Amino acid sequence: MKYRSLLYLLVAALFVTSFAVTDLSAQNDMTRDEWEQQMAEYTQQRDELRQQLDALEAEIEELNEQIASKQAEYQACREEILAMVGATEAEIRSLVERIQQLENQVSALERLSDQELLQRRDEVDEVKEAVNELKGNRQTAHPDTYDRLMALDERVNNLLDRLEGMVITYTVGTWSRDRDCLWNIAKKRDIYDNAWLWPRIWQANRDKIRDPDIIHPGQRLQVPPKGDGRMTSGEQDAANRYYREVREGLR
Amino acid sequence: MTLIKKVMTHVLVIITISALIMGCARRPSAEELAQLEDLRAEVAALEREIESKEGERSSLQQQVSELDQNLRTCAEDKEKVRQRLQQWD
Repeated sequence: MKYRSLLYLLVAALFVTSFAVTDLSAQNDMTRDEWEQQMAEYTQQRDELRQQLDALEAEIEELNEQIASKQAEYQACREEILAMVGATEAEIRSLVERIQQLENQVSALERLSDQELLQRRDEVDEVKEAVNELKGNRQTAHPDTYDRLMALDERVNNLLDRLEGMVITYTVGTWSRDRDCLWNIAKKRDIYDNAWLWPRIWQANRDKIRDPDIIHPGQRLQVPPKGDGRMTSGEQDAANRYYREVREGLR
Repeated sequence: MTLIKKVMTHVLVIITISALIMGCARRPSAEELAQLEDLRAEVAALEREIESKEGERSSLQQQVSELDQNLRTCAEDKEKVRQRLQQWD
């Protein structure tokens, strides 16, 4: 009886062990054949992926080499251009900044009304002078500056054209017949109707009038519009200089 | 003696039946399953790495393409500068 109990216990233990081992596999619901098949598939996939990875790494290395080589080539090309115009990177940067300043200035001028623009005619002339100076510098042939400078020049020329459109021409008559001097011309009703604005005509014709007391019959003078009747700072400075010279007896 | 013999016979029969049951199931062992799991993880890691490398390759190809364009532009610029300087001289 004792041995029989032992026997049943042994049988039970064996069954439990057997099911425990079987259950471990049953969790994955996989037979050995399936396991072998999956092992084979995954092994093949792993090998293929490793090959693919190796190929990719080789390709990446080659691309990195290409990039390094092309960067060096590009740098050499840039340096060659710098050498052609005789400038350093810093000098080109400085020119670009200068052009940027002028572009901003021109943008501000472009936004002005005709009257306001006329008041700031001197500024337009200064910008034009600065642009011409830059155009004379061979360093501006550099691609970073050339096209921008040309575009800027065109914009300044447009401003000058705008100003030109506001200017009329007056032909000086004789003193005996017309009593023409800058004071009298400015005083005319169809000119400024304000004799004190005579420096405006002088300043608009600096190339023709060296001494504002002397103008000649037949001279064709540019007469800028009256605007709001106030002189620009340049015109005012010129007038002050003239009156001082008169006071000091230099005229 | 007879009882011992009888018990031994029973044990043998039970062992044989158990072995047959386990043998017929043909299940992989825990170690083998772990091996399969490692292999799966390795494949997944390789796939992720390849995906990352493909992204890197794509970015590098883009860089090469941009550099080619820059080089073409630079060559054109050089020619333009040459022509401009001729006007200067």
